[in-house]
Amino acid sequence: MLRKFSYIIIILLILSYPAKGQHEMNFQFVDTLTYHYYESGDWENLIELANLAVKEGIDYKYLRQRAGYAYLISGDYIRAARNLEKALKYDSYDPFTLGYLYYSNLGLFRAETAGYYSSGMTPDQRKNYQIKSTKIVESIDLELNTAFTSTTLRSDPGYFRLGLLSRPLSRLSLYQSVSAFNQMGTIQYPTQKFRFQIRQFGYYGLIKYAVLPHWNIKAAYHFIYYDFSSSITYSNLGYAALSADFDMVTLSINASAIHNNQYVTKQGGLKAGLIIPGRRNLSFTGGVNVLNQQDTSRLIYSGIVGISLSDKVRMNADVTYGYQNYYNDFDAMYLYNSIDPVIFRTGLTTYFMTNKKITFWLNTGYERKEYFENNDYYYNQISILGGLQWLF
Amino acid sequence: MAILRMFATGFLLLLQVSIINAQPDSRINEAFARSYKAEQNGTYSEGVADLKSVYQPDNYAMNARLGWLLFLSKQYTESISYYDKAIKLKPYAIESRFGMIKACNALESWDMVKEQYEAILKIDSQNTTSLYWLGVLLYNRKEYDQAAKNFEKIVNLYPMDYGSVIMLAWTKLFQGKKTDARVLFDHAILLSPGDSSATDGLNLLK
Repeated sequence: MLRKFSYIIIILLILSYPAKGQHEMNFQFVDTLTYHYYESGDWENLIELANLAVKEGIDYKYLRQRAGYAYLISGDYIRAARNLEKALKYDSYDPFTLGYLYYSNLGLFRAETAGYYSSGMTPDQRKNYQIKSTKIVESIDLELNTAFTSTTLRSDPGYFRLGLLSRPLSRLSLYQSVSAFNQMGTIQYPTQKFRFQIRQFGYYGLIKYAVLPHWNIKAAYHFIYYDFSSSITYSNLGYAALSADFDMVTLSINASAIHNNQYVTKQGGLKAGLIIPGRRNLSFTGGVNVLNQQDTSRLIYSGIVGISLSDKVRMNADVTYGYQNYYNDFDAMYLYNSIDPVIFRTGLTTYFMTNKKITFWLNTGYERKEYFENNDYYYNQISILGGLQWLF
Repeated sequence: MAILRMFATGFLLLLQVSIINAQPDSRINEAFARSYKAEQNGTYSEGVADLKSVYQPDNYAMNARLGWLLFLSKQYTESISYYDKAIKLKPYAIESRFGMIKACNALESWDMVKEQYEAILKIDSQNTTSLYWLGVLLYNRKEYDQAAKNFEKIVNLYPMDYGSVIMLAWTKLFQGKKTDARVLFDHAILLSPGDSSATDGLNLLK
């Protein structure tokens, strides 16, 4: 009987709602109707009414939670996080808010921030929201890369990387990978030819920690064994970064140094990113790095544009311009130390999320490289990289 | 003569303005009286409408009363906004803060509830209602050290208050202070013979 009565009230409220904006907004109207929309999964109307209510000064925890959840389901992670953070201001211990802030931040690729929120939940609450705060193995990933050079003086290089992500604490992640690279070629000196072979092995470790909800610190170490026709070089790279994300904006600052028996390369950079709210999660990231080698400083510019083509497909286009000799990127995971320095590169990466567990990616790239033996000449390289990540 | 007429007109205008300004007192009194009646009859929205018809933003009583009536009519967010205005007008009055707490409770906005209890305790550090409910809120958040401080203050003031004694006993138990907890559970049984909560606590300590 009571249920019938409440249905009648909801129907009456819905019937009175068509004149949107003209209906007198009050708490009970907003609360009843948004709850009904939430229960019936009518995300579009829920978002519209919640936004109208907030404009009218009606703002409370459950409204923000419902709106946040509606945005999350719709794939608009920025607005989801924005609403859920408002809900958190009303009640910083609410498991619903914390749980869905975790998922919103995962959608924004802010895993440590997500971990920060889940750390505020009890083990039972995390279990209810299917959140595992610590994992020995969170994911394993594999990358295979080959490239086609436009010169006969260099063979097609091959690159392989195997990575493992662990989460010892909800706010702390540890990523480790091993990599191998090889290439053969001929250096054409005026009077002689020198055939070479490069073999390279690397170990990379990265720690990320969420100090505060929107502040992360990162530290990485990259060791590289580089065998250039039996002339061996050991490189040690140390990297530190501080990043902050404020709603749509992400800012980061980083510094690194690579030491080997040839010289020390120092690098410092700034990066700024912007995510446009919406289902497409359109993002723009721009960065500038200063690379200092043997008292010479060079600027390297980079940019990435990303867009979600669907719930399961995301595409990133990137470009980097500048003299990239011992330049590191992606938190020092990739070190551009090949014999021929890259002076320009661009690529397109498409990520396919097949299910909750597996993500594939395919990168096709173009690189313009300067000959080691003659820096007035360049050659081109087209690369293809395939990757796979398995979440546990 | 013309100057005299202008002066007289001006004087009358001023008089009228002052009458208009003075008039609201009676209108406000009537609106308040009607709002009490409406509250008695349970027609809270009528009381709200009466007060809104003579609303003065800088009138503490009007804002506090609107906060209360809106709370009763379950318009919690509006209630909070009026209580907020009242608090800004009289920051050292604690009644509006308690009113706001009621509305925040209804919305389960626990951080706002905590903020208001803490503000009340800054004004009146011995306020037992605030000490108790802030203690409960902290206890629910498993912040036992802070919760214990609140309950201890009440138990020191009112050693025979069963509610605070039993809460302090459980808080001490979760703090790992077993001896203190046992003494307090025993005392709770003295205040409430056969009390099941205290017996449960003592059983856990065995």
